[in-house]
Amino acid sequence: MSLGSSLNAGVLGLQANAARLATISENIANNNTAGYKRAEIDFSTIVLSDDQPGSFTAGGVTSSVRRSINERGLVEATGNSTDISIKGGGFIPVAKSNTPDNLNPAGDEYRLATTGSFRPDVNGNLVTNGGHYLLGFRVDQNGTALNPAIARNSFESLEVVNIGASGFTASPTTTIEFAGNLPAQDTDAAASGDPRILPVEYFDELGNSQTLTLTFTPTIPATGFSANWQFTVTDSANAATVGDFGIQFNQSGATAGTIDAVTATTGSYDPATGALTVTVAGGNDIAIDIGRPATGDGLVQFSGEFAPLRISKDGASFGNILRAEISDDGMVNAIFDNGQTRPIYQILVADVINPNGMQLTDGNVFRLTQESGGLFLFNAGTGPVGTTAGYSLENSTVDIAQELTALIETQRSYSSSARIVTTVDEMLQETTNLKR
Amino acid sequence: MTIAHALSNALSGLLANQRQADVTAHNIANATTPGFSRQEVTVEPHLGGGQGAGVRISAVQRQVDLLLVRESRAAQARLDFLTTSADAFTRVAEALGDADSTNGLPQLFQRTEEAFRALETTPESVPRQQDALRSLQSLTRGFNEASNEFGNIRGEADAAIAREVGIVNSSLQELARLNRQIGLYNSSGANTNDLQDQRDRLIDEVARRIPIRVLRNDGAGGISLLTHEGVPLLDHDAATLAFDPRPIVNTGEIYDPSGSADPGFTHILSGLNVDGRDIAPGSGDAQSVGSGLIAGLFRVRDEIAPAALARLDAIAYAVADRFQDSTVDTTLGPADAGLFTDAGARLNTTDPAAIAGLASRLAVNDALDPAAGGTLSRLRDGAAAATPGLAGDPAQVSRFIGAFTAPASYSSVSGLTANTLPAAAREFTQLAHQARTAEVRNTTAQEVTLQTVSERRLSHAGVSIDEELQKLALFERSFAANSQVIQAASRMLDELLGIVR
Repeated sequence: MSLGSSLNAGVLGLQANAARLATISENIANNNTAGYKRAEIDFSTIVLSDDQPGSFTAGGVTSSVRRSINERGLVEATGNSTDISIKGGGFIPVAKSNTPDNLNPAGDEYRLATTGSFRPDVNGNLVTNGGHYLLGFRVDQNGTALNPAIARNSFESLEVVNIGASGFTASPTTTIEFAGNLPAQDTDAAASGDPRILPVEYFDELGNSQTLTLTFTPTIPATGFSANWQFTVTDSANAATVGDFGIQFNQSGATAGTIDAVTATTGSYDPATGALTVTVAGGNDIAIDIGRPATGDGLVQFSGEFAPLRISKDGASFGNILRAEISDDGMVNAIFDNGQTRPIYQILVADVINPNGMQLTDGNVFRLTQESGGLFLFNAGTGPVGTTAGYSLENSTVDIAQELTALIETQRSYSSSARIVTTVDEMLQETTNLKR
Repeated sequence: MTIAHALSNALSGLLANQRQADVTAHNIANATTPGFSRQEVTVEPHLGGGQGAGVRISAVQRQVDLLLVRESRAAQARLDFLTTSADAFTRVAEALGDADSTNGLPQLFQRTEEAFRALETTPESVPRQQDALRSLQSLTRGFNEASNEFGNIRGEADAAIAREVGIVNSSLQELARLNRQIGLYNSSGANTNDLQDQRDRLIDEVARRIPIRVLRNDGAGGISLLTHEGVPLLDHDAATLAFDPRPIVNTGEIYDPSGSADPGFTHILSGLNVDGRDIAPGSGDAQSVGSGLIAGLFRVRDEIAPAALARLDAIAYAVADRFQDSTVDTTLGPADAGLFTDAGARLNTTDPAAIAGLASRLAVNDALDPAAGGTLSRLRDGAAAATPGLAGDPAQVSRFIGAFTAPASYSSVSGLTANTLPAAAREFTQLAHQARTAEVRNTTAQEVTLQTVSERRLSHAGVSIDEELQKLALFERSFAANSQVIQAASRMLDELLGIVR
């Protein structure tokens, strides 16, 4: 009976539009929720009859909800260094756990997030308000993983990012770049032969400040200019001469003033890199970059004043951690009060085969499902995944204008369906009234 | 492009305009702040997830020309060096008096010679004897006072070095602290422009005292300071300059680390030590400080004032030596003091140390001064005359006058021509005035140089209010345009809400 099917179709229409209204209201409610993915409703028809001439049975409509998880919201800047978002595709692995120091792959809930405002908790673990801990793996000061075998297709190698345990740092000096001019006139036969002394500070493994004293002594020839200097390096830590070199400079031609040759008595010189290597008291090697021969990219000798132009070196003294920051390759860098920055963790970005198949759970995080397929963890900015960014959160994908437009449509559609119901009701009334 | 996107775009524009207005206001407010560098905002399109998401501020830059800064620092250091020397030369010259003054050293010699000539005509006249004694006393007082003044110049220079070294040390400490702070803020991307201005002002303060080289370290934006000659002053930590001032600088105390000092001097004054290394000018270190206020003060203490003292002592020595000669004063035995004494005793010419600081000790023989128990008539008879001679005998007085008019020789360190005593005093005074004139002329020339460089530095880094106001007008218009966009978006949303009813 087609009148009954019309009533039924009208009721289904009411239900479907009510469901759509529900998604719209959730979307508008989460309009400002960072990382929220808007819910969309799909309508599909229910067909009950083979369309035969003369008879038609109204089917109706059914609705299904889905979320466009792969759709990205606009990234907005914030003031917190550990507000993380991803520019491009991919998800940040997080975990909800009661024992964040010792994650249990069997019992704990691993989730994926598109963005998150992480703050250190009382133990220094980075966690969101929703209780989701940021996951990553430990790296050394060069950014190399401490555990070389990282499982890329599961969460099992990841641990909770903790910035409290990396509270202190000191890094030894390994390179000193030195550029400057040695006075050529000092190597004249009539010169006094007084040395030029330049103490340079360096840091040992414990962050102690030590001094390497660089002494340049001109070689005084019997006649003319020698253009030759004796270069010694003395370490204050053990008061020993750790480097002893003879440096001969070119005196003529296009390369005049540049290094001609270096002879090493103590230490070594690599003409390919231009670095002198000395072994300081603690056993560390320090490369003193004085430039390659015949290039003039470091030490030169012209007639003029003794002029150190560049002394740049790495290493830092002891420092306390101030905060952590995220770089675009996923490194969590600890910033110390001695100005030193050091990577402590690396965050991987997950790529999921079918992101829209994931299930939304509380706190704007997603759970892998059968439908979503497995995940693969990429380094940020490689493969299909985007780069990580600190000081930023991803906005919700809700567009108010779009939702309001949908609201109008839904309202009209709902009242149309309601009109069907009242019309069928009136027609049935008519039918009932046929028999008096 | 949706309405929400338009809103956030316009919002980023508003924020950028506000920031630009803020920086402009900061510039205008600091237009007259010394050492402030103009700041400029550079903006760039913001890309969020690959699409345009408005505008963002890429940097707020200080307008600083490092080359001009370096030049102006070097010029300032040189000027301070020259000013300090010129002041000392002026004080030396004023202590000796010029052609117009009545109690300069040459005038005192002249007056003494005149008094003796007057005495020669009437050797028996007691008032003339008294006059001659007074002239001798003012001559020795002239020597004493000049010597004192030169000593004061040295003492004040020594104290000034201590004060300036203190300022450099505290500036270096402050710089080390600022350096760490700037490194810290830089590594978190915060704006350090004003801290850098503060740091530059402090570097200016250090640089005028000791000329420096500024090395910019890689990375965190820290700097190291070396002296111009390459001695580190600030690396991770600040070096401490050590200087040990003397409470009173005596004439025989000098700074002479090479140990070649003449006898009679003690090497006791402090040099300038950095990490156990003496870098004072004159220390003999190849990398000793060459310019700046502190080097100027060292020059005053160890060069200008001692040179003046050496000349004064040389003349005083010649005076004392000449008047205790038995051919000048025939009454003298080998142990008797002449008209002048070295602090009351006969000048010991066999002691090479006797010349050191003699000018401060030169005195009139007490045997001539009735006030000190002496006999006035010895001016006529000779300083060691046992009994008064003939009242009208001018022979000894004539010999005294001869001592004034005959050429004498002076210690070689003084560089004075072998000339009569009054002529040597005149030569000394002339040399001092010449040195002053030359140094003052150099100072004036350096002032002009500094002014030229400073003006260029200022025109590059300084704030032009006109220009800032122009920019402000531009930001204002841009702000209005952005808020128009927001209003339009808001009206569009209102329209939508109006439909849903």
